[in-house]
Amino acid sequence: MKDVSDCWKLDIAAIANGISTRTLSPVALTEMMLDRIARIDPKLQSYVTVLRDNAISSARQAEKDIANGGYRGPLHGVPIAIKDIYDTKGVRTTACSKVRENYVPAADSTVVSKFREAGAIILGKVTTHEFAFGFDSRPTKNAWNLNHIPSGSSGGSGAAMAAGLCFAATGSDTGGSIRAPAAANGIVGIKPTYGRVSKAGVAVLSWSLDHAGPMARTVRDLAILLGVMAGPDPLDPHTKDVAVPNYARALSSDIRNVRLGVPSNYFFDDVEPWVEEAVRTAIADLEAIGAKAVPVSIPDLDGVLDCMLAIAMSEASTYHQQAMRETPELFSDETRLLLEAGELTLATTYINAQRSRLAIKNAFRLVMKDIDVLVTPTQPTTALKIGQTTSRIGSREESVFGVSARFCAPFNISGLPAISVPCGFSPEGMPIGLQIVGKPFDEETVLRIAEAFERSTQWHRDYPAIAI
Amino acid sequence: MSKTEMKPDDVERNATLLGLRIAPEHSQSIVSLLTEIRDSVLKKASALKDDAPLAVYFDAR
Repeated sequence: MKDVSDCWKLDIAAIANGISTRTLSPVALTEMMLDRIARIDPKLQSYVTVLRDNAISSARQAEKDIANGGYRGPLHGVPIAIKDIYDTKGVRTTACSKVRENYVPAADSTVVSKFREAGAIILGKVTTHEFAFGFDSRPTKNAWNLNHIPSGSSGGSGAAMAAGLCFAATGSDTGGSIRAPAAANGIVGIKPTYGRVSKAGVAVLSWSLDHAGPMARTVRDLAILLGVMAGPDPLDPHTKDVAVPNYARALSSDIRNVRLGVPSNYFFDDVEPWVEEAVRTAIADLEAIGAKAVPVSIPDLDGVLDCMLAIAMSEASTYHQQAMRETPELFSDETRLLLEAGELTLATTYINAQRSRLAIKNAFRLVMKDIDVLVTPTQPTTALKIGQTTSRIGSREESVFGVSARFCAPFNISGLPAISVPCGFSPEGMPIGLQIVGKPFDEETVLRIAEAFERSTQWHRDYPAIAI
Repeated sequence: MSKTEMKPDDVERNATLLGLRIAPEHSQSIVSLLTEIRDSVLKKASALKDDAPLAVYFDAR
């Protein structure tokens, strides 16, 4: 068996090759990751719970099963992390809230159960913004600069991935919570189509906007992970009975004649110049390998963030209605304010937001008719500093929520699949993300284009100093 | 559509009616948030036909 001390830099595809040929030991890989967590995470604070004994015991079992010819596939023996809003049987699942401080689920969420069946080793639970309702993910830091937030709400997943403290992590995305931390931490993350991945056993923020999805180091890894996570689930009525393709097999570097819709409005308004430059260079890179850029006009998205907020606040306040009457003081001040406002939102406001949502979805369907994907910045800027409450770009000043959700939330509203891949760095060395958005249930095309981009660039091969 | 401006007292009264203990210092922020969201969503919805459907579906299967 090989020395694994540098294997944290590898992606799952490479690790799986070593595990399946028994040149890499799941036990050694798990111990290596646990040692890294013990050494690096006190500074980063990305883990809520580390499952050292369980992880080593599962890794030993995986190693034994593989030695006996029972190799299950590319996740067998691979150490991963789970966002702390996914239920894990017998393991505290706090949603990073005092409200759930002592909650120990009796069953796994569907996604965790699928990962266990695939043989993945669960290292522990990683932080989330409280109940996934925000973007700073306290107390976790950004792996590229500890003075910056990791974004959120899947901030622990993003920071842990960037620092090499797991090979993959789960995320959830209601207004950008997979893509924003993926962009902020220089990793990849995909929000699949609404209904593609089960949310059974995942704490609800908003039934109609929440999406579960994976975060990883490479697009190929996302394809492997999504292949395990996707599919209809009788425990989640929001899932759709749509065939799940072999995403990993569908990857190919050939993207000749793929039509990239490049928005002429909204997605390049009030963007930091280095973000625009990185994204336009990425589009040129995609053209250089055969894609065709097509300018497109985006439908009127004014008010889309307020529609998203009206829906999320109303649905979240329903989910937390009992806790808000019994122990409102246990919520953080910020979450409590949003839940209070959600209780007092008029039913007509909620209904109008849901009616507008359908109009926005239909408008995107028209935009997507003559293109294969849309390409946009994931975020107008890079990760904000810890404690920063507003962002100013040119004359536009907006809240952390506004700047984080502006380019992501339209695809929670429309339900379209969207990925973030690294495409550069700011002058301060903070990562920038490229967002690629596809047609409903066409994650294959999104992954194929993202992987072709990744292959033709080197951004995913940079690591923050804290990881090395 | 005419409207009356919401006030912190309205928020506190409605919260009490709902059995909700809101943090006293939140009243003004809630007024601002609800007013902004209501106006923005109403403006967005004003472009819709009266019978424009709701993006929430019930499947009777």
